[in-house]
Amino acid sequence: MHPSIEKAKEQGRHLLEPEALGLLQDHGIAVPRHAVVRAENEVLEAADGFGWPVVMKIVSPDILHKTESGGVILNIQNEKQAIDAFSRLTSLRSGGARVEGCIIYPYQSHDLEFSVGMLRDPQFGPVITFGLGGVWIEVFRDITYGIAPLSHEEADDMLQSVRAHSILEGMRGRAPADRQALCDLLVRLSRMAMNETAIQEIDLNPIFQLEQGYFIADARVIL
Amino acid sequence: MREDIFDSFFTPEGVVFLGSIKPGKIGYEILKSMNEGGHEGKVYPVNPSGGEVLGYPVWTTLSELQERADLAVISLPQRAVGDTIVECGKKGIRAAIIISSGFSEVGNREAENDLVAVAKKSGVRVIGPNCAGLMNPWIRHFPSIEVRALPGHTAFVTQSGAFGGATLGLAEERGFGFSKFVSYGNRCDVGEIELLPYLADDPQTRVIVLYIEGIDRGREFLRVAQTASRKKPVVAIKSGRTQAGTRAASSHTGTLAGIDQIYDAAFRKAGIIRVEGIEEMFDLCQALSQCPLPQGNRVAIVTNSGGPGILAADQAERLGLDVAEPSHSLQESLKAGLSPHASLKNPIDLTVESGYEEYRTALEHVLSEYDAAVAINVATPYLDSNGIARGVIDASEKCGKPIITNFMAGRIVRKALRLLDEAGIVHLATGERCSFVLSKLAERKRILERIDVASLD
Repeated sequence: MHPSIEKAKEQGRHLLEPEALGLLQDHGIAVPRHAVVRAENEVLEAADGFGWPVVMKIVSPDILHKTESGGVILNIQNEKQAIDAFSRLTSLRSGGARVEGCIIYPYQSHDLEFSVGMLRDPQFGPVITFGLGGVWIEVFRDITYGIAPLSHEEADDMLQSVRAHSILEGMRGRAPADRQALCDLLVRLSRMAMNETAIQEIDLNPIFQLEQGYFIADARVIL
Repeated sequence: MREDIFDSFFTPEGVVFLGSIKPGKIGYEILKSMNEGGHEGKVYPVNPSGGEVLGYPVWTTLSELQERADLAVISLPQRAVGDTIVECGKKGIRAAIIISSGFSEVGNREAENDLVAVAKKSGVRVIGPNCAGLMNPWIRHFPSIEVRALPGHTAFVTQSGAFGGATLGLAEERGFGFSKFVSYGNRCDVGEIELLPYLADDPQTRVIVLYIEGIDRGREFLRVAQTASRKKPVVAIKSGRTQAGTRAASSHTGTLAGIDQIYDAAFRKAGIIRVEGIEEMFDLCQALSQCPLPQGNRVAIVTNSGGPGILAADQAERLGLDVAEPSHSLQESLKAGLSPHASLKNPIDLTVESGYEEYRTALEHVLSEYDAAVAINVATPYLDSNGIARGVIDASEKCGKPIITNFMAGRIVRKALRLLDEAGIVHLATGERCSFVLSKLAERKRILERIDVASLD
C-alpha cells in the first residue's frame, strides 16, 4: 500500500490533492509542477519559481468539492493577487474546515478538456473511464468504460469509442490530442487501480489537452 | 465415478428421480418429460408410495435402490431436500438437479446456505435450486419442466427459468434447436462460470448463449468467458439496463457510471457479443453456427427490389458496416450479365427480371470485392424464387463468404426457403435483420482478432 494511502486510511480521510498527485507520479503518471504552501513567503517563492500566472487551491480534508466551496482561484497574475488569494483560501478555516495549506500550480492555458476516472465495481473490480471533461461531462455523458487492467490497445479502443472521438483527431484547425500519452495514462491508472485496492474512486477532471502530453488540473482519490 | 461432473449432468447412465409421482404435479411432469423424451439411460423413480409409474417400478426409499445412478433429479418439498442430498452422497451420486423452490428466491437464505453446506460435505454438485432443469436434446435427456428442445448447436444457459421456457417455446415454433439447455435457478453451486468451460469443449455446441440478470464472482466470470470465447462465440442477453445514480459515490466518475455500461465493458473484455432480446439471439445464433465469418466490414446488398434493399443498406450503415459502392471494374463485370435497368450502386438492384443466373453471377462477382452479402428476393407469384434460391446456394458454395438471405414473403417463397434451409443458408424475415446479423458476425471476427490484447492480469 502506498504510504499516503496508509496515512489517509489511518486518519479516516480521502487523499489530499498533493498526496493524490504524488501517488499518480509514483505510478509513472505525469503530473504538473506544484508546491504546497503554508505561508505568504512560500506562496511568493513558489509562484516566482513557476512564473506568473498561477492557480491556487485549498488543501483540506474537509473540502471534497473545492470549486463549489470557493476553494479554487484561477489566473493569479501578480504578488498582490497571490497574497490576497492565499488569505481568502485560508479564511475558509473560519467555516470550520481544517486547512493544511494551499497548493499552487502554474496556470495552464488550454482548449480541450478530458476526464479520466476509476471506480471499483463490486463484481468486476476497477473500471477505468474516459470522456470529455469539464462541466459538459454531466450533460452529454459521453464516457467510455474499460475493465482494468487495460492493455495499450484496449485504452486506444476506449479513446476511439467516445462519440466525440473526432475531436481527438484534431478538427477545424485544432491540434490533435496526444493519443499515445492519453493511452499511457489510462494503462498506468488501470495498473495502479489493480495494485492499490484501497482506492474506491478516482477523478482526474479536468485534464487539459497539450500538444505533447496532458495536464492533470485536478486529482481526487477517494478511499 | 464419471470423470467430468458435467457428464453426470448431461449424459447420465442412471437417473434417480425424487418427487411426486401423482399426475398433474410438477414432479410427475418432469418424470413424464424424461420418459417421453426417450433417453436410453435408466430412470429410477423414488417415492414412499411405491408401485409403478409410467412403466417404471417405484423404489420406496433411495437407500433401498440397488442400481447405479449418477444423477439425481429432485422435486421434493424444500425441507426434505437437504437429507436427500446427504443420501445421494452416500449412494455415490455426485450430480443433483434441484427443481424445488422455497430457498433464497423467497428470502430463505438460511435454507440455501444449509443446502450449500450439505452438498459440499456430501460431495454433490448442484444445479438449482428453484430451477427449470436441464436438457441434452442430442441424447433425448430431458429432466426439465419446460418444452422439450429440438437438437441443435446452440447451448443456452439461463438465469430465469421462465425466460428459458419462453425461449424454448418460441424456438420450437421456429424449428430452432439446442445442444444443451440449463436453467440454474438460484445458482447455489453450478452457474455460468462452471458451465462455460464444459460447453466450450462440448462437440455439439457451436454457440453459447447466456441469459444474465446479474453476475456474481465477476472477475472469475471474465476469465472463463474469455477462455470460452476464444473457442466459440459467446452471446449474452443481459436484462436490467438500469440508469446510473443508484451507486453511493463521491466522485463524478462514480455517480455517472451505470451498471449497464459496466456490463458492456465487462462483455467487451470477455469477448462476449451482447444482443437485446430473443429474436436477435435466434437470428445471430443461427448465423454463427451456419456461416463463415466475414473477413472485414464491407457488405453488398443484392436485391431485385429497391425499397427493401435500401432499408437493409441503411440498417447496415447504422450498425457500422461499410456499404460502399462497387469499384468501377466490378460495375463493369456486373453490367455484362444484367438487365440494362439494373442499378449497380449498393444496393445492387438486379431488377425483377432476374433469376438463377443473375443472382449467382452477381453474388459471385460482388463477393470477390466485398466481405459479405445480403441477398434479398421480393417475390411475385410468377417469379422463379426456387431458381433464385439455387443461385444464392451455388454462389455461397463457391465463395465461402457469408450470405444472409431475405425472401419475402409467405406462401410463394416457402419452397425456396426449404431449399435454403437444406443448403444451410440463413434466411431471415427482413433485410434489416440480415444486416444486423452481419454486423454481429463482423463483431465476432473482431473479437477473435482482439481477444489477445484484452488483459486480465
